[in-house]
Amino acid sequence: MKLRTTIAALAIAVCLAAVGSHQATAQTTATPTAPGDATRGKSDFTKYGCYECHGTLGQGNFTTAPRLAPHTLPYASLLAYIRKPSGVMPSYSATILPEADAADIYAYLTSIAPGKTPEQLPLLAGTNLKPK
Amino acid sequence: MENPETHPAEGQGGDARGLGRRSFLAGIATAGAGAAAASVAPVRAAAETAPAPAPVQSEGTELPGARLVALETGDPATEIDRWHVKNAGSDYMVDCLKHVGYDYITCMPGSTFRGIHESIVNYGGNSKPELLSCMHEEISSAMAYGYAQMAGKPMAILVHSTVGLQHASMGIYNAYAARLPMLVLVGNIADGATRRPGVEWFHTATDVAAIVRGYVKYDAQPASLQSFGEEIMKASSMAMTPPYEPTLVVVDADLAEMPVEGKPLPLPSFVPVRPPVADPAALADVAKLLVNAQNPVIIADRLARTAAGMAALVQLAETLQIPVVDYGNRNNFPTNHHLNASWTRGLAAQADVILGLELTDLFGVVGDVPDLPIRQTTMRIKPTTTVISINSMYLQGAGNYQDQQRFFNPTLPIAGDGEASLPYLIDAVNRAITSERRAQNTARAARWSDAWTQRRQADLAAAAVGWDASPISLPRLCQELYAKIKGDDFSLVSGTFQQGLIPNRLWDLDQYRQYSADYGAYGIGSSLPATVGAALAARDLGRYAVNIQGDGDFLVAPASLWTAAHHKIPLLTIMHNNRAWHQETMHIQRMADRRERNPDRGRIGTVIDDPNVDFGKLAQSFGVYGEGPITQPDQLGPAIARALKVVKNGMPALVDVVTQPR
Repeated sequence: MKLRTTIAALAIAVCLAAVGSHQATAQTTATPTAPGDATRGKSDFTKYGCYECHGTLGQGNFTTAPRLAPHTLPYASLLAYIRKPSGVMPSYSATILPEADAADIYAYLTSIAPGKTPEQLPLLAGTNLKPK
Repeated sequence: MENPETHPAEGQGGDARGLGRRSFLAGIATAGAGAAAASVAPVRAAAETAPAPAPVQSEGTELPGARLVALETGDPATEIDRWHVKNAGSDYMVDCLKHVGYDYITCMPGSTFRGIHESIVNYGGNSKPELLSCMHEEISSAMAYGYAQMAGKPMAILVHSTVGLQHASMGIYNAYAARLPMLVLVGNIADGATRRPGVEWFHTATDVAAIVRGYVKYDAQPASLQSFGEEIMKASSMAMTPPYEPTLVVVDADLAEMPVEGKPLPLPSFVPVRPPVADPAALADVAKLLVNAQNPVIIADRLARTAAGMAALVQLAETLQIPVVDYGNRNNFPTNHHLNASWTRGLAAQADVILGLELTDLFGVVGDVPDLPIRQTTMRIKPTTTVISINSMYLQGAGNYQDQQRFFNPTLPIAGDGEASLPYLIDAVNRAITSERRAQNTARAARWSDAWTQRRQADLAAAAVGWDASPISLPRLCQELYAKIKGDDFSLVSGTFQQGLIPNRLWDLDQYRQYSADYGAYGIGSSLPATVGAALAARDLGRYAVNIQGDGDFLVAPASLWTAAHHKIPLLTIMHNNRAWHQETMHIQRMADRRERNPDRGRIGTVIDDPNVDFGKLAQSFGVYGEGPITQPDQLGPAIARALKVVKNGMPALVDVVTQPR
């Protein structure tokens, strides 16, 4: 029977969650600006496993990884983080993620439009905001 | 279908069962049986020594054996009934279980415990304990795990020797890691002289408890019925003395199947052990530290064993307005309480005093070893931080298994049960608090109340992202479910980590029985049967149970649903069907990325597709209402409503939802 390593899982959760706080300070020395193809980027988002932690729409979640879309970071910042993440997110070097594909992924993320706000969603709008 | 392990090829070794397997004439108790002989040996001895007249041989006939002669010519008043047993030993065993108060006993049938099985259903009337039919011993043990979580008391499980205990082992290990009580009864045939040749030897071990000894608190192999009774009392009280853990008693087939001779055996006294309370002087020191701290934080893990534990933690926190981080392995603290700071980052790093209550992993609170190619230890807290740990695990040594986590010596380690110690700590705080310190409470409460509201607003904003996604987002799944159940007496009986802790973040869970989950040792396959056990306990408490269920875990023991249907256990299962063992998907992805090769191949071996599993139909095949797969979010609410209607009528139901990975 295969047992799962809880500690590893928790470490991933905690540390990947921390990625979001590092994004704003990621190195921005590389400044490629190649326009990408959002359709290819959607496919690549799955192919390279980005969806595994960030969700198919880059929405992120509470335990494994932060939101990537909508309101995606500037391309240079995102690419710098992908190459040299400061948390425990695995690095995607140029060897395995060519820059053209990264640009496509970026195009996909920036193509995702903001959805409704909590106030516009009945199942969220009624949520209690006052603690006991 | 019969258990192939239980009923091997007939005829192996002859039909010893003509006399009953524990044949009265088969031989006297061995020396190893020890005291067992005291109660059962006289019957055997009588048969062995019955006087026999000299046989007279007729031509062409065989001489009758001494045994047959004895039976045919003996005094009818003293003749031994070769076919029947009155007052079976296993009837007394059932009396012992009833005496302790076991309501249920799970069982996948096995011949090594057939005696007590029959006694439970006939002599015991199949009530207290009631036999629960399971299709795998892992289901038996995991059900007991979930039952203990919700009921706060143990269930007994009855497993076949060797092979059955091997199957049950993971559920027992999970309970051990989760500090949950369970009484494991395992059949065995101690006396080699009475075993049939063949299979019964495979299904017997000299020391059968050795299979699980690393993760049971106590085990016994009683050699007499009197000893059996005493060991049941001892094992039951030890299982329920913090730290709670499984215990094991061997049910010897001879003892179970042979009659009790002589006077009725007395039932040993059973008085539960009072839990260990921390040293009063140490608690006084803790109180002073908390009162004088500027940024204290309480971190609770496997703390609240009862509703009183939750109430006591609330009282302690409110007395000093200290934020509480609830690790979620017990329902320690209301999610809608203003001092619930479970998702406020950096509390431990900022704290000057940390009070850890029943922490499974104290090191994990203060430090980390990130999952990077070079494993390096990092510390989360300041060197000056005072760390207090009240934990019943100080009372238990470690064995082969590493469930006690990495060593960290706190400033003030205190042995004692957290829940039992809390009232005394509250008293000490009330004695130590000054009027000046009490005056700070209003401002502290306002600060944490504001932080709570801001955090929930942020969580709602995050939940809204991807709301209409297909596959369906986990926030959408959780909130569609909560909308249907929040006015009811429900119990969420599954862990929430895989769902991003959304129920803990967005649901108002302020009753102890509203949430009861724990991953134990994270053995995959335990969750579904554990929720069936928890749902049974919830049913007895007048509640229905809700389970958000991962697909990979489900597929290990799907027949758990049959048990739920067979015993009419109201359990609503909502599939978190991401069509993968997704935790492992992320792990393999990490390896491929780290080694810079083919990241697109990271999913091989960790996804569950091609073909997709139809969980709705699978549920239906076990007699459970099932529907799905639901792929569009607007279809989810109505599907949950239909399934919930079934559950409210006392039966299980399942909705298969195709979801985002996490």
